Order: sequence, then structure tokens, then C-alpha cells
Amino acid sequence: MNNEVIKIQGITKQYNGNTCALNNVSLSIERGGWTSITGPSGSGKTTLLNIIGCLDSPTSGNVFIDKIKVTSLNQKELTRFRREHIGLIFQQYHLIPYLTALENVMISQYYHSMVNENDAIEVLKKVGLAHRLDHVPAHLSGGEQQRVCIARALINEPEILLADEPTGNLDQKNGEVVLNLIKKLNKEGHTIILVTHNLDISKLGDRSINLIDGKIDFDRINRR
Amino acid sequence: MIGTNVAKKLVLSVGDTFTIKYKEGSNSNFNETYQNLTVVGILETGGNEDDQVFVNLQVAQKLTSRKNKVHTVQVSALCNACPVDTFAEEIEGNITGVDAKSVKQLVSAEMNILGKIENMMLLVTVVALIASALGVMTTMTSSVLERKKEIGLMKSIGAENKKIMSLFFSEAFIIGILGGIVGYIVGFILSQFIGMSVFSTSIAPRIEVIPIVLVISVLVALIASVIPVRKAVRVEPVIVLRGE
Repeated sequence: MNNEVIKIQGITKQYNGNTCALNNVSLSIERGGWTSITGPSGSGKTTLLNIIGCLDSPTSGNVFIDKIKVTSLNQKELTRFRREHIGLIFQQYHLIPYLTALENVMISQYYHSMVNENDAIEVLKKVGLAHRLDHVPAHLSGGEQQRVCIARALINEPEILLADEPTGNLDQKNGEVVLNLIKKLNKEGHTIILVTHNLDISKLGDRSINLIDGKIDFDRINRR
Repeated sequence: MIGTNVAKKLVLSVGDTFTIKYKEGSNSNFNETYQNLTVVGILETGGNEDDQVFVNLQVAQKLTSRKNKVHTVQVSALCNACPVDTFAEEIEGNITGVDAKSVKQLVSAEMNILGKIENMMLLVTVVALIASALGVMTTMTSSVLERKKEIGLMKSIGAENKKIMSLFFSEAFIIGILGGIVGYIVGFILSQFIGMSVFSTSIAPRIEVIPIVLVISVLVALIASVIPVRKAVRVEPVIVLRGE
């Protein structure tokens, strides 16, 4: 694959020496695509997302992102790499409760480089939250919190967006708003890797990879 | 001369005249004498003198009907490093029935007691500092544990360890400043209470102590935060996605 952005070579992840979350997984992900990762609980999909997101490292095997061997980077380099290349969207949103929507987005700018309030407002406008800038998470609906989380992931313009069950805590209406937003971001050129239990959502992507017991069960191209 | 408290109680000022009564003896057989006095000055020392009246020797002898008698004589030697104890011995040898003591001996006894009080206060201060350091450490540790997910999130979105450290050390700095201010105010009130009840005198506030108090309290808070901050730095970003 000439346009690959992520290349995973035979990664294995073991916890406590014997629990095997991933077993010799290899795959390649194309730039600008949408890859959905599915599988039952405990199949290793979140572990795979953690490793791609440089939040965790495999017990063995290699991961290349943008041709950089991230499995050879130390903690400080991984932190730097993550903030430059990867945006994270969480099922639980993980917003800082005492900061407003705007500040939750700006904190990501602060850790990346410099704070720019206008840019943060623009991103919040993009996710449809221009009217909720000064609200703390407790005063936002689940869908709005998830959109703040997406805005925070987008603010530093990462190429890759990793989403872990982004609609898992949302009702159908809010779930559709969030999925439409992710579709829009994918069309704008962001590489999306989305973990989900829901097969209908997985089919929104170009490709679905199903994991069972830490191994790839199937890897297929979706018709859209 | 009258003490300031006497002046206040009797509503006297310099130039005023008042009558003093001296009474001696048992209920059935007593002797009363009166003397008119003019206030020539008002004395304020912060000590027992504020409650006393000072008269010259003749007036005192007349009031107490003890003509040509004295109770205490203070002798001053106008020299440096004088052999004061030798002078006292000479006075005792030359005048019979006199008990001569050097002020140096009295002062040294008082200084000895003051030294012990100072050591005790130092010990209390050290214990208080250790207790406050443990308090800050406990507060910061529970804060780190409560905010483990928040720390994990900050790391996952790109916060380096030094940013996490500066966040918690800044919080410790603020705790130190607030603790120092509150400590100074409470300490001042407590020192007034001790001053009045133990030494019968008020203690003047010392502004120059404030920066020393703030520096010490900030240092204690920062040192006490080292272990909790190390815990914060060791939080792994992966806990955010694991949902621990």
C-alpha cells in the first residue's frame, strides 16, 4: 500500500505475563480512510487502539506511523508524537469538569504549543457549539460533551482521529449528529479509526476489521 | 510619677494633684497616713510599672513612718566589664544586715528561663512544621488519586511530565502562601493571648516576620508535595481508555 499511514507488524500484547490481549496482529491502514474495528468485549480492540494512539506499547512487534517507528520512541517522544499526529475521541468524553467547553478545547492547545482563543472558538463552531462556549460539562448534554471532546481532538489538526465507542453513551439522535460529524471530518481528509460494538456503525467506514481473542477474525472493504 | 494604668483609672494627667493613703497594722490597731502628691510624669513600660506609683524616698519614708530606712538600694557602676559580683561582696562586708545581689545574677536567671522557653517554642514550631508538611502531603496525595483520570487525560492529549509537575507544584505554592497568611494571623492572635496571660504584656506585630513565614510555609508545602507529584507523573495515559 503506497498511501499507508499506519503499519502494524506482528504485534502481541500480554498483560501480567500470560493474558494475551493481542496475538501477532499485522495490518496496514491507508491515509484518509475510515477503518472500523469491531469485536466482542475482551477481543483486544481497545488495546489495539491504545497501541495505535501511542498510549500503550506492545509486548512485541512494531508499529510505524507516518514511517516513524513509534515502538522505538521513549515516553517523552511518544507524548510529543501523540500531540502532533493523533486526536482522541473517548466514549466517556473525559472533559475536565471545572473547565468550560472553550477551556477544555484550549487546554489541548496549551499542551501542544500556544493558546489561541479564536481558533478554539472556530473549532467549537465547526462542531455546532458556538452557543455553548462558556458552559461547563455538567451543563451540557451527552451529545454536546462528545462534540466538545471531538473539538478538543481536532484543535491541533491531527492527521489521525481515534474514536473509542464515540456513540456508546449517546441516544440515537445525538449518535447520528456525532457520526455525521465524523463522516465530515473523514471527507476533509482525517484518517479515522473507530472502535465499535455496533455493526451498522462499523459499515459507515471503508473497511471493517473484526477481532476475536486478540486475532483478526476478518478484514473486509465495506460497500458505501 | 504614676503608671499609665493608674493614670487611666484615677483620670489623672501631668500637673494634677491627688491624695494617697497608706494604711498599716491589724484591724483594731492600725496606722493611717495621708500625703498630697502632684503628678510630674506618666510612665508606660508595658510591665508591672504601669500599675504603680513612684514617689521620692522622703515621701515614701514619711508615708510608711520609717524615717531614714530603706528597703532596696540599686547601685550603678559606670564602667565596662566591671567586677560587679566583687562590688556586691564588698557592700555586704562593709554594711551589716545588707543582702547585696548583682542584677547580672538576676538577669542571668531570667535569661536562663527565657532560653528554655525559646527552646520549647522552637520545638513546638518544628513539630507544627512537620505536622503541616504531613497535612499538605496527605491533601496532595488524595488530590492526585482523585484526579488520576484527569492526569491520564492531560497526558493522553499531550501534556509532558513537567507540565503535570508544574500544575501540582503551583497548587502546593498557593497552599503554602494561604497557609502562611492564615498561620501568621492565627500565630499573632495566639502570641497576644500568651503575652497577656504569661508575661502581662502585649506583643507588637513584626512586619518583617511575614516574608520569612511565607518563604518557610511555601518551602514546606513544596517539599511535602514531592512524593505526591512523583505519583502524578507516574500515572499512565492509557488509564483513560481502559476506563479504570
